[in-house]
Amino acid sequence: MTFEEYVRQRGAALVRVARLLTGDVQLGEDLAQDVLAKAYPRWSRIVRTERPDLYLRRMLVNANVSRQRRRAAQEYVGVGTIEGVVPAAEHEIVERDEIWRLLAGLPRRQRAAVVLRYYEDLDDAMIAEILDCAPVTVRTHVMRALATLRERIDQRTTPSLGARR
Amino acid sequence: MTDLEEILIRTLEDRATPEVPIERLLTVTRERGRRRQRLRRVAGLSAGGALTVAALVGAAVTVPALATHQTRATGTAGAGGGPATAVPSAAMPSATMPSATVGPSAPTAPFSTTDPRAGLSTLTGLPALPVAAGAVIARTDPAVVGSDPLLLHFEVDPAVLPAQFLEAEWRSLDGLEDLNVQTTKALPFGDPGFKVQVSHQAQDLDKLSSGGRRAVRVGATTGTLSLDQSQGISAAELRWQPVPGLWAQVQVTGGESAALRVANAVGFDRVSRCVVPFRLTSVPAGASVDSCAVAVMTSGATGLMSLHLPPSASGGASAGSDVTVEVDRGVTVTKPNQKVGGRPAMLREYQGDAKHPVLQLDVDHAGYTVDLLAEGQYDPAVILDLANGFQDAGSPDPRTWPADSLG
Repeated sequence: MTFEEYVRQRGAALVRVARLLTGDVQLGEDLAQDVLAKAYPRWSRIVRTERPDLYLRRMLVNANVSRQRRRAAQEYVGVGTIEGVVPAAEHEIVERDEIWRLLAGLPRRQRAAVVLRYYEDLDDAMIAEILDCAPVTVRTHVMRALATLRERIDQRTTPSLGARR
Repeated sequence: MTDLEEILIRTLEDRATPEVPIERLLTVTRERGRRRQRLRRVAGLSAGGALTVAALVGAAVTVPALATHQTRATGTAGAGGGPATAVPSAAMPSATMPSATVGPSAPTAPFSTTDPRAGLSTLTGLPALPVAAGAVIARTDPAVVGSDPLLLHFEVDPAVLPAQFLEAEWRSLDGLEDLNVQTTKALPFGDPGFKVQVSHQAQDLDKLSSGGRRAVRVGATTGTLSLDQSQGISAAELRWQPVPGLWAQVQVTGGESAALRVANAVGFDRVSRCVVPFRLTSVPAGASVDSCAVAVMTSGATGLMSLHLPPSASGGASAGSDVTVEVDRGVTVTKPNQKVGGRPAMLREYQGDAKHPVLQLDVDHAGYTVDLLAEGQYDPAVILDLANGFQDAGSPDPRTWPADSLG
């Protein structure tokens, strides 16, 4: 598979994961561009691994961690503006906005684990490879993330979510 | 799947949905990639190697005096006894290693839950963990590697460590022992940092990249080097067997010389303790340690210890239960619902993976949080006892941390 073929087939998925990791459309696209540009010169090696998806997602997660370190936490405070979101019923929009804001406050690896599990639908073993940790650590990240979300939802007393738990 | 998980999925799908301009993405990344490739060819073939190696080289850090604690027997082999013993830094090659950069002088160890250095933008100098005097060394019996999560059967000469770094973490879990160091600055052509892994089973190590392999000498043995030679200097992986039955691997940002430099700085003649900056004084009889990790970060030190509790401390469940105790600097107790040892705490119980019950207890220690996470048929009273028995090591020096954190 050439670099061009990969980007045409899988580039959109990579960008979407980057959007979720960064919490921002433009930042996500920039991050995905950075990662793909880094991958380009060593594409022959990456594709020889036969797991370019794994390789690029690992690069993406690491690049996002580095980006957050550089820019510090303030960038995350303003997360939440993604244009073109699919319309939904009003109460659902409120819920999703709430969840989206809360996701932005999660520690970076917890957020990455949540994105990779619930958006990418990857299993723990694959996520562990991407995050470079043990599968049990992935489960811990996800459990802690869900617990934190529940706690913060309780604090903000969002009735629809709180009532259904 | 819970309602929360369902709405989480819908939220992520919605937020990721906007159309991706693929052709623009391809054009931009190809253009930037080609520019990067040209730069790599120029710099990588001339100064790239030197730059990368230089970034991995730090000033020598004084190895602290040896500690003499004894490890706790955890039901697995490796702690104490045996015919061979750990020796103090015996075969380390640091004396002849050149220094390519001048880093800060040896600092005090940036450890502790009450770390005065917390909040620094970078760290300098990697503190040594205490030596497990009398423990069987890996070179004598490779099977000891990974057999006791409280012991680390390798060391890295501080002379090859980065002068500055963001994070360093030692871990022992699932039969694998490793050290991960994340450097402060992005190196010219790759992700910064390096990793050392040691195991008595090759399959425990990260899989070597498939391309560009060749044999190189590492000390008295032959290893397998994998690197991206065709594209200049980027990342290198080097795997070797110091003695039959013992496997080691380094991954570095850099080329062959950087990989060899780190590999030659890995020693197997001393055993260190995986210590954490706390003591648990209320551990049920029969509990054993499953894994241990200790990390130095710019936010301070953290430690993690996973325990397996016997049936008697798990509500009678035949399989027992597992609990992880972790010092966490990234979480605050925002909604305490009880007190633990007079401290605000938040206790939650919920359903985890495979419908297993989970108990999470976060205790606010004013400056950091102690998190306990129990899974399986846990006994909440036992977990509360564990939390009540948490004691901060109260020192920035890991040599003073408890050799036996249980009890």
